[in-house]
Amino acid sequence: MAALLATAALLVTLFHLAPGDALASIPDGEALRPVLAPRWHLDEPLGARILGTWSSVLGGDFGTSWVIRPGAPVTEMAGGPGLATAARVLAALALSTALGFLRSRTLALLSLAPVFAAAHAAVFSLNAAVAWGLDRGLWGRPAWFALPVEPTWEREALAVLLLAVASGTLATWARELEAERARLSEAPFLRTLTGDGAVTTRAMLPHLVVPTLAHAAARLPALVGGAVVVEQALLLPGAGSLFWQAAEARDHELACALALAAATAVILLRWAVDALAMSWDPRRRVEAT
Amino acid sequence: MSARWHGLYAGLALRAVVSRLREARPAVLLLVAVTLTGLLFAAAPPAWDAGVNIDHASASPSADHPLGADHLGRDVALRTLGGAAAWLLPALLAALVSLTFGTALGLLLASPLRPLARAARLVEAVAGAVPALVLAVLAASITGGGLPVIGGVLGLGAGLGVAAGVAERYRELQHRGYLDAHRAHGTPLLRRLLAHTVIGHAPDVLARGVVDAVATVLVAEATLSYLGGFGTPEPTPSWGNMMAFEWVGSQRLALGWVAPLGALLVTVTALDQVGRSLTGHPATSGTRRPQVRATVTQEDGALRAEEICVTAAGRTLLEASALRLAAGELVAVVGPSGAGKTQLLHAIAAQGPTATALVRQHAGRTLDPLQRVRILLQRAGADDPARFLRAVGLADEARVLEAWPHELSGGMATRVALARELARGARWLLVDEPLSGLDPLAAVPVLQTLRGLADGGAGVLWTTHHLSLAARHADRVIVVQAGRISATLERPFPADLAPLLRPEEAP
Repeated sequence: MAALLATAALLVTLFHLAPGDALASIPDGEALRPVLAPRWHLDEPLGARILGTWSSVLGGDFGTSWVIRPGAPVTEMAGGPGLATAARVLAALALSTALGFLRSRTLALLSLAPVFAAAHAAVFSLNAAVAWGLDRGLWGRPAWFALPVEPTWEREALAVLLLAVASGTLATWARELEAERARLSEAPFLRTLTGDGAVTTRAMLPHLVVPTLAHAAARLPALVGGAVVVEQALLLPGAGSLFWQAAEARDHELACALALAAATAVILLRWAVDALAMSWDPRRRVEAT
Repeated sequence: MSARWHGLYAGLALRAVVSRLREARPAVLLLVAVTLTGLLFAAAPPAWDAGVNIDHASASPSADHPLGADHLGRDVALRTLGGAAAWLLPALLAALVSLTFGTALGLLLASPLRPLARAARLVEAVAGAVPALVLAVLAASITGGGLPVIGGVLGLGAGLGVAAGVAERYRELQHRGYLDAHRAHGTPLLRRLLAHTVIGHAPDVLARGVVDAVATVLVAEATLSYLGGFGTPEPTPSWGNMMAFEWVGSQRLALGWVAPLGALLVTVTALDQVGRSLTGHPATSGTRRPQVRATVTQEDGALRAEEICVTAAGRTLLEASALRLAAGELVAVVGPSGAGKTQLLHAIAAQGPTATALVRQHAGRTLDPLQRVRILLQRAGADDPARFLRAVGLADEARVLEAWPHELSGGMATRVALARELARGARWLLVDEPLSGLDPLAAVPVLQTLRGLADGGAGVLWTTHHLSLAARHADRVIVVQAGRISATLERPFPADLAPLLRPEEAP
């Protein structure tokens, strides 16, 4: 809770430190001044603004869109897209975990985002190749090719793959898993399981649960950040693309609320992971006390 | 004096950085070239909006346009070189923020002052909870500050890595008593912290603070410019907006996106190489296991090991012609550290029949930490786990059965490991230094257990440094010296076994 309130305070402080009049940057800001000035505590010192925000958040008021859909509560706007983004992020985590077990050196090399650029280059090449074929009448336009309004499963799958690869989640997990395997293959409690000292993957599995959970918790912020980019690049509806649109349109209340929601999700997942790790590994319970 | 020490520390840090960077020399040279190019274009930017020439739209490479032209006829090579300026200044800002914020936060995280450490942990939790890219875009949106603001905020995110490294280093030095020793010598606090925790750890701090921050900003700038909105706007070139511009504008396969994509890939890969060489992550090298050769047979109620030979990396660690262990016998193996006692046990265990079991030194580490003792014994084949605990002298079996391995004392863990081997059907028990780390009171029950197991019909071979205990409890004593069995003693033993461990006294 402390981290959540501190995050809210950070966002308010960011707003407070911004040069100039916050309302001046918003379309129709002057018209909205009578509504927004008291709501954002514009004439009050920073401490009062933070307290005002805390009281709103604790009271369940996470904000309102004033530009994209004026007057619409954020909770109403972000519910569906938030679930879609959460599903993509979880699918990317599951994919990176499953692929990480392949022990591929190539996967471990998929570091940083050249892969993200390469993936866009691949999409571009595909685009160009399809356009070339269309020009020559070699084939008709595939339904999934042009960027339609409604998402298709092919683009969803591409988004999940891009998210896992470009956020570095797959690469870091492949590396960490390999290091964890190397550590476990030397662990005396596993080497004494068999007479010849060999350690099987099956024997390692229970000991990989906590590292997997820790990996998920550590990678979540990068995945959420990646979701913003991937959803916007592939025109997929979700909390990420909604955040991007809100930031571009300077719909500050909506953008801040979505950032706070992302931070809340990260904090809650870390808490859940800590609780799960503690119930799985008895040594952690001792450390916690 | 102070300046001399600062110079020494800085010199050592520089030497460590340069020596590690030697492994990634091509990558370093490439990054220097890219940085100089970026600085040149940032200092004197050409008129980017003046190069439009529709006659050369999407032109192939030629003498005028070595890498071709984009779909507005602008020179791709020049724009690719100019693209290095787009991310360079935000990246340098990010590196600066990352180093200062990360170092300060790291020192506070490891601080012995609890309120400071708690506050630092809260800052770390908040900074780690909001995705760095989200916070950067939000900050740019609210402040209208553009790429420098994005660079600064991404630097905060990269600073978390620096903070973790610095805090870890500080705790390690504290744990080893290194910082306390310097305090005793009167080294001021700030110098202790900066010299040993930050400067002494320079390669890692640079890898996390500079390389990671620059790579993050480079990719973020390209991505944001690719998406539009918060990146570098046209006509100023950026590797990201060059790719996006060509994709959107071209109706045929154009070359305008290849060069910026290549520049991005090569630069990021070079940064990755430099980061890896700084953190000193060499290719993983497998542990070399010793090669064991021995003939171990079980006949006439005894275990016979012959022609035992253990080698590693071409060096002979142990060579012994024969060793016999009878059922019901408790045999101690003594010898100086490194003489080959443990190798002897490992060799017999590796080549022995299935009824041979090795109980390693620090037996607690051989018990699965995720399983209670009851489950450990049941998985080893014990129908009645309590019976096996009683066999190794653990009277309070109900409590021990429900205990986790980390809750057992050293002596109890050794006896539970023995019980597990008995449950597996072991008749020949090879026990490596069971008394290691135990006080004399705790050692007695372990020895009584070994004696009891031998009296019950098992053959027990145990290594020890406690000559008096070996003389008191063992039926025979085998002396191992310099990789050979130098003596085998039967009862009655000499009053003092110690002279046998000196080379000149060995028979």
